[in-house]
Amino acid sequence: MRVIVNESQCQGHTMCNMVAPEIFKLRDEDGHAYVESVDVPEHREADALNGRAACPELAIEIVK
Amino acid sequence: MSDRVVIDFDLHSLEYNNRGVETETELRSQCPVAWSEHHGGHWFVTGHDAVGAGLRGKGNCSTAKKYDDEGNVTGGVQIPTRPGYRVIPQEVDPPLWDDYRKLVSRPFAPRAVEELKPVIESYADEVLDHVIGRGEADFVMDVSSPITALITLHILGLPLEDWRFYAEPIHRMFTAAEGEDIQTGLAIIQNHLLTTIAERRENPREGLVDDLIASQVKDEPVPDEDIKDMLFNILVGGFDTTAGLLSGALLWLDSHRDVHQRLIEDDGYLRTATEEFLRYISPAVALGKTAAQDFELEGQEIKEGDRLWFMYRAANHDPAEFDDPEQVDLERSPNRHLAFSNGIHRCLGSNLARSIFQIVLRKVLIRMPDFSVDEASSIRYRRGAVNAGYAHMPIRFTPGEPLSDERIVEKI
Repeated sequence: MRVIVNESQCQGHTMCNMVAPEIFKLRDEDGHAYVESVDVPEHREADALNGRAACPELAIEIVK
Repeated sequence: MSDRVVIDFDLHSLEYNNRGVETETELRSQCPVAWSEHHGGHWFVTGHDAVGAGLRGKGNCSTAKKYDDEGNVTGGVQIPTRPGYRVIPQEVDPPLWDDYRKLVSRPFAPRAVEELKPVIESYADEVLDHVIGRGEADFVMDVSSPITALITLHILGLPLEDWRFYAEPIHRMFTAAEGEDIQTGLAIIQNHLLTTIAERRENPREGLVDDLIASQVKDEPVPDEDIKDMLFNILVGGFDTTAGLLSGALLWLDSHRDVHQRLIEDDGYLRTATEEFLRYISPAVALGKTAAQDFELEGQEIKEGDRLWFMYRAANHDPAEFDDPEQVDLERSPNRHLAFSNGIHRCLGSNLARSIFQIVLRKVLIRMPDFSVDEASSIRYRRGAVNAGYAHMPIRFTPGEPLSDERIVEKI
């Protein structure tokens, strides 16, 4: 599974980080989300899906 | 003639004010995007999908205020357009919006809000210390309003003892009766901000005011008028919304006491509960935009120049997105609510609002564990089309002791 944060869609709601902080990190200056690695380990796949479901901007893409 | 869905909905009517959520349910079930002939004619958007899509679509919407050929002001975030000042960055479009938003962003970023938590804690303790011995208080005017105001003034770098000077006229925007003047009070605030800005150029201190005075946009210093409009945006953006969230939550918790202990002890539960209160209460009920281009929304043809009223609370109660939307489920997850709006104008204060809410709520639950709300004497906003909240919410509690004898502010 790979996870991509679409930077131009992200508006810094921080909800992905709220539900899946291990995957979705927040920039210091504006709280916009990023991932340290696009590859999602199997034990974190549910977290990645929860993060995507939490985003009001539909800015998170999951590629299985 | 287009075949748009037309519904007789007056967003400023007393009828809607008194039956907000019920009216929104009726409107949304008729059509998630519809047209009203009131107030010069405007779309109103009640569906969750539609609000999101409308605001997410790049280039769909404008919030800037403009003058038409007859010299009338159009646009902005109110319907009908409010004359006079613009709030910045809310009533600015890209590309200028990008510069202004950056100027005010830093103190509201998650990291900065995290670092501000000790200040939030101390102001919350201070305000509660003022009332804890009385056994009764107006939760709005004695607790949630002053706490929010003090924290905001701290960030801006404005004198804390002036909190009432700012809070009362802003509060009156939502609580004043029909025909009561609310503009004079706001103009007085605006003038005072301009005086303060001029004074701070001579005698800089610490705060967002001073940061803005020292800033540049496109290699030019920011004009005083624009600094005033940025300060004003922050004042009106945060005061009554956060207070409305706290009041609404306290009222619900008054009749659901079995969750109090878990809210105190369980951080994860408090986090999901915060999002659910945001969804259910939606203190920012709705705001307006103007179509910057033609676009389609749920089968309706939006034309450039059309005004649109995006109804966040209605979207947050949409059964197409939320199972059992009228049920408060403090563990609801996912909870893709639009209480902070969507798109580029996502509420700048969202992280701060959450932190203030969580810190204040926990302190009230801990320091006033047997609080009771006098719902019969609680008075909702009289102008509830834009913000949902309470003008007054009397509460009773067993008197307690102040945590400190020291006072940051003399009189609350």
